[in-house]
Amino acid sequence: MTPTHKPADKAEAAPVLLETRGLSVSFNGFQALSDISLSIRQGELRVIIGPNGAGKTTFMDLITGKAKPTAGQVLFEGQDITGKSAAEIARRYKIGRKFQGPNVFDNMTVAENIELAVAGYEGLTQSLFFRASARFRHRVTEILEQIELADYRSFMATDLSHGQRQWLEIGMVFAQDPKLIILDEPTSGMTADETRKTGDMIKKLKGEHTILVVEHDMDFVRQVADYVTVFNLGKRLVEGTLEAVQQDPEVQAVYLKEAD
Amino acid sequence: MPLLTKVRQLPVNRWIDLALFLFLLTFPIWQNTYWVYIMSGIMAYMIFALSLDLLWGYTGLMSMGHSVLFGAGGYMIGIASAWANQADWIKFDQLPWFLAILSQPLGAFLAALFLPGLIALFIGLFMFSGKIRGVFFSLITLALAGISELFVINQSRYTHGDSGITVTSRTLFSNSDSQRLTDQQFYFVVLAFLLGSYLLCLWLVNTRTGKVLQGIRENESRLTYLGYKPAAFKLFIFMLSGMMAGLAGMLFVRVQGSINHSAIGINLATLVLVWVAVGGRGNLTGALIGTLLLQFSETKLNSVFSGISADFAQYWKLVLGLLLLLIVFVIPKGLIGVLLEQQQSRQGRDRKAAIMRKEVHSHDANP
Ligand SMILES: Nc1ncnc2c1ncn2[C@@H]1O[C@H](COP(=O)(O)OP(=O)(O)O)[C@@H](O)[C@H]1O
Ligand SMILES: [Mg+2]
Repeated sequence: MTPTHKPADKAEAAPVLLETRGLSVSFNGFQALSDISLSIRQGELRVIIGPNGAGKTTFMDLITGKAKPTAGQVLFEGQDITGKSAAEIARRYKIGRKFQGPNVFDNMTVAENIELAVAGYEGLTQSLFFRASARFRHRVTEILEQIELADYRSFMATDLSHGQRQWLEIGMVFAQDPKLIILDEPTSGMTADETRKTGDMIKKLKGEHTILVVEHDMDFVRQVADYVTVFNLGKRLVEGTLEAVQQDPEVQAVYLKEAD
Repeated sequence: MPLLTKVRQLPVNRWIDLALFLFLLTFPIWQNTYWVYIMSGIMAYMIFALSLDLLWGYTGLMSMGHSVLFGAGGYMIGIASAWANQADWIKFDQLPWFLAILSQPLGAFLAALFLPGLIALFIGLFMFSGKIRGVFFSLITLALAGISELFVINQSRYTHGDSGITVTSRTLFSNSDSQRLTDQQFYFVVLAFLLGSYLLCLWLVNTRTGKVLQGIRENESRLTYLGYKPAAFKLFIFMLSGMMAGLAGMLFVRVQGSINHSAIGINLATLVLVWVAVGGRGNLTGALIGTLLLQFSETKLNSVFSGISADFAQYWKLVLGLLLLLIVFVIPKGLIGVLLEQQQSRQGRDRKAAIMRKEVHSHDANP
């Protein structure tokens, strides 16, 4: 087996936030993920890389309740959340997810998108008699500034550029105030400048938030990552610091094959 | 924000609403009784159109059988009135237990409001927990309209079958013939309900719940990952919309003085879809204006052409069908939708220009 590298000392001291045990799923006989065991500590920023079709998105589907595993468990803060509904995982366990490719409310304004995402008012009666407090409005503005969209608050989401829509969805996840932030290819379709800015946004959250991010763009990975997990063909290939992983012959083989 | 800017940023359609209500308020002053009567019916239909707009325009649930709820409200008043005045076709000497509430004036009013709400609750529970959405929701509601029409025709013991029920009591609560408001008076009763319904809708769509409903329309699955349970919201809006449709049906029956199976069937279900589509979905104004324009034209053209051809009603349906096709292809957002789009794109350009200016300035400041 490949060597498992230890994360930095500081992170090691923190308790485990998310743990998967032997997670597997198959779709009509196709084994999309097999036996994924992985744990992420509080305050960690973990990057998952791997070629297309490796099962990265599927892995996030299993954590966030979009798909149900055929075997294995997902533990969050020590509680078993395997097979729970997406709404419950978001609301009760506070896991926020940004999907691959912008997934926002198109014919609503930027501010409305963020407002809808702010956690704590998901019930019917709560939302019926909700009145935006000064604190609420301040929080929305703060997030809009964080994602560089403060000037765009009255724009319809559909009128934003692709990169801005990605930011908007990242902002929605921030607004959820989640314990775990999951970002699936946040920089796909972004310009180099936008990608770098996105890296900065995420680095600012480092330490305070626990973040799990899937990424393809190696510049971005170099910018933000210190600890990396590599997926290939539905399996966890290796895990370790970015330098260590890059030197791994198996990883090199996978990526060389992809480069062909 | 200064008041003036706020007023200027108000969507254009709110001014149209204001003008419309002023028009409706003064209408009886300069119009004869016939047109006051016609307009009362149109206003009841406007409430119906608003109820569909909440469901279809805002939440994206295209009910093709909304008349079921309108008709359910209308039939409650019809049966109550037939019973109170002992219509000659009534063959029973006691109301069955499930209709007993109709013997009380207020009971009939409440039944007309809550029976449609209950029907919506049951349909909704079945559909939304079974994750039926999109075109399947539309088809099932369409089928329900067809079934309901057959149902009231078959239940002639209580509904007088094909012929329908004559209702001559024109009051809010009482079902007795001896109590009757004038056309003018009842006009203002309907107007008050229309204004109330409009204000309720306007309030609702601007609450957070209203935004969640729009979120369901835009991207339902995304909402669940923000911790919402869309089914509860859909059930709520379906019930509210159902009650409003029932209210519309109740008022319409009292204006019109009769109800028959066409008020619960596919005919009316299609009409209301056309009104809302032509006026424009999801802004309330479109539902009001679409209903007014089309119903007004129908009445007007009817009086012009009925002398020439007795089949006007048939031709009118053809015209409506063609109009719907035209609207769907040329201005899918409807009349008011086009207006709003123009305002939004103008505001969008202004905002973009402002951002550009700001960026240029910040470059000047730190080169
Ligand atoms: N719901 C599904 N039904 C069938 N196959 C699926 C489903 N979800 C994912 N897959 C398959 O699982 C594999 C992994 O996909 P994915 O997780 O999207 O990869 P990645 O995100 O790493 O590019 C792909 O071959 C994909 O076709
Ligand atoms: Mg993917």
